[in-house]
Amino acid sequence: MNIFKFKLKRTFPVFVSCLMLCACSNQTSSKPQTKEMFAFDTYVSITSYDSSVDGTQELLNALSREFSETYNKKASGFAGENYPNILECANICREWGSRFDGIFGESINFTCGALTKLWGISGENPHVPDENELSAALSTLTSEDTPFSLMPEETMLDFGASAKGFACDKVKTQLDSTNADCQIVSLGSSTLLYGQKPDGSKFRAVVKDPISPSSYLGTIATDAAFISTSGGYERYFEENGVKYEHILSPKTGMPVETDLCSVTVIAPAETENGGTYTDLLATAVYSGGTSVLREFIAQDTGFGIVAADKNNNVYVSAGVDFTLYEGSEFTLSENL
Amino acid sequence: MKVQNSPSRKTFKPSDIIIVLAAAIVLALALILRNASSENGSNAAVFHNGEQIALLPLTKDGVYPFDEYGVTVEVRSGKVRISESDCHDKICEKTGFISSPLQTIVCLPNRISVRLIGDKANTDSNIDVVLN
Repeated sequence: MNIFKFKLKRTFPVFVSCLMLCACSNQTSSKPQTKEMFAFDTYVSITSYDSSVDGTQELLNALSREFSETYNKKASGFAGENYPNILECANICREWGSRFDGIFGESINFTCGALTKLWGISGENPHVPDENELSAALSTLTSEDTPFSLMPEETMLDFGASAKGFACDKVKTQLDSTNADCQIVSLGSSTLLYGQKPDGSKFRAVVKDPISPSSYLGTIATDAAFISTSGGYERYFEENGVKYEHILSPKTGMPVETDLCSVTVIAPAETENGGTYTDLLATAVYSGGTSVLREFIAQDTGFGIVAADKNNNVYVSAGVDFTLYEGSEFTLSENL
Repeated sequence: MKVQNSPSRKTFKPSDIIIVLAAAIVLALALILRNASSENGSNAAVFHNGEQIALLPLTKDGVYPFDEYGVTVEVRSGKVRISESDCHDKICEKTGFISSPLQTIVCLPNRISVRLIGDKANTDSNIDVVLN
């Protein structure tokens, strides 16, 4: 009996070591921290392996506040220097248009705010407008190249197809300047995969199944990148048995008609304005359908793409590491 | 000149073996406890505006009304869903039950999100993000 009492002095350090070992094994698993918030009218999650989360959250809140003013204010109210991010985003959209309008026509127009407001698809009382309402709203659209101060009085801005991607660009710039290691910022339709994971493995991003969104279409494996997704399967409303999706055509004023159901565009994180560009491209390709998709892939723009059509085909551009989810009803197709 | 081990100082004493054994047992117990807790440690976390307002054990079925936030959350058979919401679009209700830590139920109008947390989250650790 005596021996145990006597040995306690030597046993104690052993117990302490054991405890430390356990604590250690907990830490080395390097579990990322996730923070969530609402910004840009969407659910946002920030996952980080270091302490850079707070700075990202503050930045997103500030950007979201600035962009949310477009809901209430006319376009001409954004002239001047009080809205530097809106002006910068508009300029990127203009550049994007001059580079890609050849493929897409003018499929996106950030002066369509009055049209978006008329339909109110994301609001409490969405409704199908009558012809008079529609033509009145369409008449407020103008060329994106018009300076804000010269836009027609009733014109309103809507950066729904670019603001979230633009926010990803801004987060990336901030993370670059603070030497952050790794962060995953998801703003719903646009995502920034920043830096490198602690274990050095590639990022893996899941594309949702557009027919049953609780299931997966497949997984993209990639190094640091911007990824944006567009589809009509989540935000829509029904009236008299007809489904109206939230992406509106600036030409007809009606929801776009497309034979695609999900489009994901990916660009390496080094791509200049890659967030804004992937956001715009995802919407433009989705709106254009397979004929536009074909031309986009043929032009070899440097942007990767994964697109699913309504006949359960999935098209993947060269250079994208995409794995179809086992048990998916979709099949990979090369005949575009 | 060095003198080799004196006969009175052996490398191992019987008491040393007891200490090593005790250490091994403690370590094994600690590991077993850790793993056991990780299997039962999964919860559904309910957030309002990013702040956690509830942690619901997945091991126990139940219906939890959050009246001031406009939603009712149901846990059944280790899964969770928003069973009722006073929002206009009902996207949260349509999402149905989720069972993977990668899925999140979001009620945008009510600023509510529900996801699974706990050590079970490691089972899908290959995946970093779900694109919406």
